[in-house]
Amino acid sequence: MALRAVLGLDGSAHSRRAGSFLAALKPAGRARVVRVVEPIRLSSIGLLPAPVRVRILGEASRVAAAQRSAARREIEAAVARLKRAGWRATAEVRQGVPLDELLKAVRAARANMLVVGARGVGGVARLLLGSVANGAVRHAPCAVLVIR
Amino acid sequence: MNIRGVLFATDFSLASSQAGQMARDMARTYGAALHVIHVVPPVTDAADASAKLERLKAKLGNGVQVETELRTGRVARHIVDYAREHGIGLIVVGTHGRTGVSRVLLGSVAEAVVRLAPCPVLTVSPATMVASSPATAPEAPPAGRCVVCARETEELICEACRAKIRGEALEHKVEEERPGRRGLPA
Repeated sequence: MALRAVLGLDGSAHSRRAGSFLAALKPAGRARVVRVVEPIRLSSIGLLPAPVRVRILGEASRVAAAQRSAARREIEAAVARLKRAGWRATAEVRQGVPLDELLKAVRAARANMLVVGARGVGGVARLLLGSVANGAVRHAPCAVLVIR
Repeated sequence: MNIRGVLFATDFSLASSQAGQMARDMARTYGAALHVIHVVPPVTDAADASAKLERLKAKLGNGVQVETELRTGRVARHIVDYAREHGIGLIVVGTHGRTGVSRVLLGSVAEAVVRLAPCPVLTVSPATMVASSPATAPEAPPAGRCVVCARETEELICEACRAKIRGEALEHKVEEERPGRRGLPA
């Protein structure tokens, strides 16, 4: 079976291992490396006085920019590793809810495998399985490879 | 990467046959042994399980070394224990794509395996078949027939099958809650 994989990264150790595992799979196919960045929500910012609001928004956009560039670096490293292993790999940063965006990426790429780490950076460290991995197993329209 | 063993956990369903092919491909690619395990759930009768397992071994044994294992008891627990005991590098398991009430009642072995496994797990859903190999995708049951037993009915699932699903789930629950009997063969 020719592999068309979507690799979901989130900056965690599990997702780094997911990248190495996929690169080592044979025969090398096509891979779309996706990193989803969640938007920073500032719900009641409208209630604050203007100068404070400007300050917070400025900070938030700096944080968002830093997140995006970290995301870029991570997916570019994964793409480089996949290419060295003979894969045809492309990268994409998406913004939104991680599971939803990964499933959208799977459909857009008509992927037959979704590769994710067992647990991400969010949530509780003692959790055995993160919500993204669990949701992927339940909802993905393709095979799901969960790496730990 | 060096995978020493690939474990294919099967319930002999259509959903798991696709998983079996993927497991065989993986094992062949890595020159790994293919382990095939079937776990008989506590309250079910599975007289023909070992014959089915032998047939599966013959079917998948093309170019790979196949080990089979038949156990009785809590399904996900036995699969994960076997993986630990045999230093398995990858577990492959089919999912049924159950949703809603039947998922809550019958649970998902695949999800439990993913949660407890000591190694990577590949889950293969019924939808995968449609996505990757349209030629071998199973036909949807014709309208007016039960999706479980294909008998004629006005509903999606006929009354008999619904009762069976409810009954099995109930038996299972009773078995789980009876102390001291957990995991014993029925």
